Amino acid sequence: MKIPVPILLALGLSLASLPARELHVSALTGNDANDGSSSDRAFATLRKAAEVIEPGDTVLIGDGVYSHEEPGYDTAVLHLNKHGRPDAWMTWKAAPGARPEIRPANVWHGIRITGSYIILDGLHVTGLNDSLTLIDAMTDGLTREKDGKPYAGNPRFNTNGISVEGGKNPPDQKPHHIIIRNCVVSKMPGGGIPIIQADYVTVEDCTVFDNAWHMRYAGSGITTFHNWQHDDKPGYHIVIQRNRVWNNRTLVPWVSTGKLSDGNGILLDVTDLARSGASNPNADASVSATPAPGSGSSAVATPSPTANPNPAAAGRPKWTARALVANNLSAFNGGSGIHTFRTAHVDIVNNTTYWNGSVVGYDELFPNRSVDVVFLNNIIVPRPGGRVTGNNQNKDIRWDGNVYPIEQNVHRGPNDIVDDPQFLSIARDLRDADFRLQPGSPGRNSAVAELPQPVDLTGKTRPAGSGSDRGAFEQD
Amino acid sequence: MPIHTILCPARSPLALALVIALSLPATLLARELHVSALAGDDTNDGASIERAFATLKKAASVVQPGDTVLIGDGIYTDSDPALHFGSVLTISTSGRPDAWITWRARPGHRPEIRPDCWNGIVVNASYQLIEGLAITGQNDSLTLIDARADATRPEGAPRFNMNGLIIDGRQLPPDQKPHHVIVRNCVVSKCSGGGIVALETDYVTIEDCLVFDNAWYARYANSGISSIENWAHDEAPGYHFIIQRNHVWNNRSLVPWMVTGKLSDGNGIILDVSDPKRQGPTNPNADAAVAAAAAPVANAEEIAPKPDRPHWKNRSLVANNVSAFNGGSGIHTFRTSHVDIVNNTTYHNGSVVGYEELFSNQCRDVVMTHNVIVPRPGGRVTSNHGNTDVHWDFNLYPIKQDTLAGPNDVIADPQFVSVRRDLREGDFRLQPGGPGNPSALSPWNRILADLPLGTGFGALAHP
Repeated sequence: MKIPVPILLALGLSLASLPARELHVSALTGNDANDGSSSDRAFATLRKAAEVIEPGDTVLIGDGVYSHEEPGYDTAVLHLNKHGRPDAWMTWKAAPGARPEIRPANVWHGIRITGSYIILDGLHVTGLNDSLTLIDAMTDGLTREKDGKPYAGNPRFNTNGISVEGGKNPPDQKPHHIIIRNCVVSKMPGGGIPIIQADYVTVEDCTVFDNAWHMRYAGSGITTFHNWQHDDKPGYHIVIQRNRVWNNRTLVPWVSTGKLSDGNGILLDVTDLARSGASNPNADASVSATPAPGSGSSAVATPSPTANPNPAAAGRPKWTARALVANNLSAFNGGSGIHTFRTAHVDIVNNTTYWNGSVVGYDELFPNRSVDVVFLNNIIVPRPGGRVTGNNQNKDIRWDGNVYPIEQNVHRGPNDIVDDPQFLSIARDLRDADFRLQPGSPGRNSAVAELPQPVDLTGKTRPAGSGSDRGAFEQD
Repeated sequence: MPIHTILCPARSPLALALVIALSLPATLLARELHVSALAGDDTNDGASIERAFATLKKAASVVQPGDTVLIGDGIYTDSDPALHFGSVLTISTSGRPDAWITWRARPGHRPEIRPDCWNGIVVNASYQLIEGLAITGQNDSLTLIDARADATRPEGAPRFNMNGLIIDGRQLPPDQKPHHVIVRNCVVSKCSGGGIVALETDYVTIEDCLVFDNAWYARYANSGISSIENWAHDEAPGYHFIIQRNHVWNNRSLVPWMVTGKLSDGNGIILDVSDPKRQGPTNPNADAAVAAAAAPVANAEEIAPKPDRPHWKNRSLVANNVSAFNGGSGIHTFRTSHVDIVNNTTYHNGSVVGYEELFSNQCRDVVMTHNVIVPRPGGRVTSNHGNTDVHWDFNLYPIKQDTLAGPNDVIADPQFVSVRRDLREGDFRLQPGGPGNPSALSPWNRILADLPLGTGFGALAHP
């Protein structure tokens, strides 16, 4: 399709009222001198599309590997800093049938989002873990100074996958209304999907694995940190659902404590307003997350949160909104399956966790110094010697309808079931596993009625059968 | 079976041999002894399934040359700290050339040894065949943070340093070092220390084993399969060490080696220090590997000054192994002489310490041919540091390199059937029509049967 120049001009002059455009990008056949208006006239780089995108536009990304490297540029392959509108979101999605892959190498992020009303859909972000060595990462991670100056690490060992990052935005322009959907984020040396100083963020139907191995900042698979509340409207502001999250783990000590920390599957980190506070008693953990200089946010980047107070972080509103963590499968991570730290108002429902904590020994579902956390209808299988849950200075924990194979009394509900959930097939690569429940499993048709979830991890309608099932999967 | 009660007090192998030689012809002595963790009892005589012993230790205390110990289903965790730092089974009674001692899974059974001590099996004796046993360590229930903390303490806890199977001559006088030991068809996994370790031994065969997920937590820079400081029993021709047809993967060291304070080794297979010098350079790539590192050493002052090892003139064969996803090399030789590395397949090794796939370092007389070698992204096929007399040819690898190169090397994607991180689910055979396939290659490469040495490429014939 060709659009005459006058029409393009008109589009530019009256954007708000005009229908959304499609912009095309192809690493294989595109050219940044094109206008991007069709697949034949695709841009070559994501960055070019980010320059011209306007509210309401959809960017369709074709096959190819996206990893533009510019000397001296160390922030991200793709930086999304524009704000859409409630009626005009900006969408970045794989072109139909395409499998575009973003491969950040020597940058801090694959995709960095500082704008609002943005949807990412169907993108692969793949990091360098396969070509790094732990010994090199440890050497870099233990280096605190270079040339007499503080050294924040080589981004090569600290790259995050998809970051939502409000650290440098003024208080009234923090990122909000972001949806990250159907994305595959793997092999990042740093965190998979870290979300910092943001609100109204949904991460759903994503596959997040093999991240956080090489970074010095105690990353995790999916993280929210210092949520920055956009408004007081009811309903969930943070939604993390239907994701498969595995083998995220830290192997390099956290720069703040000199010890291994975190590497959780899913972490909701620090909504409380204390400028500093106790760190995790199990391994001095937490106070997350992303790296430093190029990332633009000293709050999240600075190794010690108290060492370098960030003006942009001042005045964070009290977090009164709610988060939902539902229908996720989180397994074989080095930290918890699902961890909340100094965080309030979370519903953790219908998740399945399996054999987490192999690096730092955290519990499968681990609330720590948290307030108002609900755990319902989860299936929880700790590794040998591991623990179902923990309870350190929490307030207002509600726990019921959970299934776990070993007796424990840290949190108990009258409808808990202590029994083997009987998974169909366990494998360390969750793409090869089948964590649905065998016929006769105690998790079938036995979910408690509270906080019912309309679908399961695969999108299947709940309930199927005489009642809804516990865990992330609904069985016939 | 009264005979074992007669012989029982004879603790020394020499005395035993004497008694046996004086009493009965060897052929009359071969017995079957039965062990069952599920149904046995150590007050039984072990003479039948119904009268099985309960523990391996009991069988070890009565076994005689020529005996076969048949081990039934069950989990064997019994340990005795008094026996060589603790093991589930310590074998200290030697067989004879005409009367080996066999330790074998009862037909149809899959006994599993789960040590909670320094070692699963310790072999301090000769003429032993160990077959069909599974040794499973505790890696699943350990955490890396605890292991790294333990490694900073003066004495390591066994749970973080446990070897699967160790053939260990270090405490024995020069004329009693273990020799003629075959480890066959065993599965050694999840041990915090080394998988299968041969220390100061000779005539050792390790074949058809699965060795994976070992060495993660030890302070001793362990590997999957190691031979260290070989101690020559004689200089008869033929291979003295054979490591063949094993699948070896995801062995890696995540805790710094106590000698250097840095991560080291975690190889799939390492032949370590046949060079008799007591001291020598360490690995330039990561200060790796000066022997003795592979297993816990008792208080140094308890060990008398050691006689010099005999000069190692014998030959080793490393053939038809698949070694993949290990933290160190796929196959590493360090300060070692006289090794043939033939028809192996290695894939994506070196993720922890960055060693090369096939890595000879300060070695002499090493032959590397007919291997398929695929480095991880950014990894390297091989290295050549301080070696003399290295022969390299007929190897297949996907990226051009000239560190070591032969006129008949093939640079191409080998086209494996299916690559998986769990080698039990992968299929590293070569696709039909691929570059390693005999139909596509010159006559020297015709595969006549599965895996005859020096033919084809890699460890596995094409489908």
